[in-house]
Amino acid sequence: MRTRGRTALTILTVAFVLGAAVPARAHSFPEQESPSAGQTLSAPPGEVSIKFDAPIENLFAKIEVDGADGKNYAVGDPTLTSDGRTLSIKLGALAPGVYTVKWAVVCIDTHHTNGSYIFTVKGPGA
Amino acid sequence: MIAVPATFAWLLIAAQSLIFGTAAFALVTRGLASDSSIDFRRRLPALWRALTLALLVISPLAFLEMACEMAQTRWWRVMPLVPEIMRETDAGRAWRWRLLAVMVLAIAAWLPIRERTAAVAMMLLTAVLMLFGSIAGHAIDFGRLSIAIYWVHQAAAGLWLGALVSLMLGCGADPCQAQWIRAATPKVAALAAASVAILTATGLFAAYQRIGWNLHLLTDAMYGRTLLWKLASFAIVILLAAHNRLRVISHLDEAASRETLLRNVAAEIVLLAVVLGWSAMLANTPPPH
Repeated sequence: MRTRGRTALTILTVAFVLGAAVPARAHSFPEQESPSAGQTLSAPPGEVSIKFDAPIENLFAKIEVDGADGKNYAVGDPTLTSDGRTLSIKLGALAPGVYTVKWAVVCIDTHHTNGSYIFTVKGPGA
Repeated sequence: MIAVPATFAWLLIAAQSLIFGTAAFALVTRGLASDSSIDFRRRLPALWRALTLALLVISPLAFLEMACEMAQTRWWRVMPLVPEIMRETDAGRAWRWRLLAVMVLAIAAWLPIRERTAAVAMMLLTAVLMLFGSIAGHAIDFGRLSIAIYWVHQAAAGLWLGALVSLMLGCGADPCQAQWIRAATPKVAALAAASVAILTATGLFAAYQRIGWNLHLLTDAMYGRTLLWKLASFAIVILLAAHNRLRVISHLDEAASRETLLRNVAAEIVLLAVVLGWSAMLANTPPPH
């Protein structure tokens, strides 16, 4: 009887532990961007923001928006929302052209990730 | 390059698991006759002191290595950033408390206090260290339940490793050695069986969270391949432990069986150290994305 009780307890514990598991992602990667990757805009955006799938550390968050001339058009320091997941930066006046958003962040699990994507600003009448 | 941080992580995990497990075993075996456990109780404080000294040395180095990974720079360049990292990052704050706990642990190991009080202090303080280890690792990406489950995983590994090392530690000259082995082995076996069940459940939980049903990631991703190596090493330890339980333990009245048991236990300890090494590698390998 005692053995049966132990076996049942073990099965219940294993079932609970495994039942509570949900596949998820580690490290921070973009979940949503604004402007989005590859998007063509009719008017220049005032800021770029990236929502990550896991919280990031503000101290090491970097984001820049480079034009075709290689100049960084981001203005000031990036800001992070209180949940630690959305990183934004204000932009200067963007002329029509292709822009590359480069980001580098550290997830709260201490690991580093980085990446880049482009968006396009259309010229008047284009 | 994960060799350096993984080595630090391995040493930290091994040292704190050993202190936790041997302290727990000291509490579990308090009722044993004092003449059979005399060697174990005499050697335990020396082991704790050596391990806490190792933690005192390795912990700041492991923290600096983590800071380098966060800042993507070298040791000498990360030094000025240390106060900011400790103040403004989750892992830095966890490490601030972790380093404090290591210092308290080292002091407690050298204090002339009663054996039971010392064992309780060692166990509680290393439990705290394991908790901070969970907070500053992959588990934090998945929420509080994962942190708790990872803590339980570490504690179970510590109980098993600590029980095995304690059995070896208590072996002196016969007839005390024979008495100790006969008295302590059933407790080691019970702790090992419980640990295997807990490690299996919590390990499956962590693996499913990180990989899900994408079994191809076990062979295609570095994390998956490392996990397979860990599972293979773990399976060998279980086979060895099962052999001891089914074939050796029932004949402990024979000197030859006791010798076989000690030889197998030594092998189990080495293999468990290898498993901990794979765990340290996993802690420093990005789960597949």
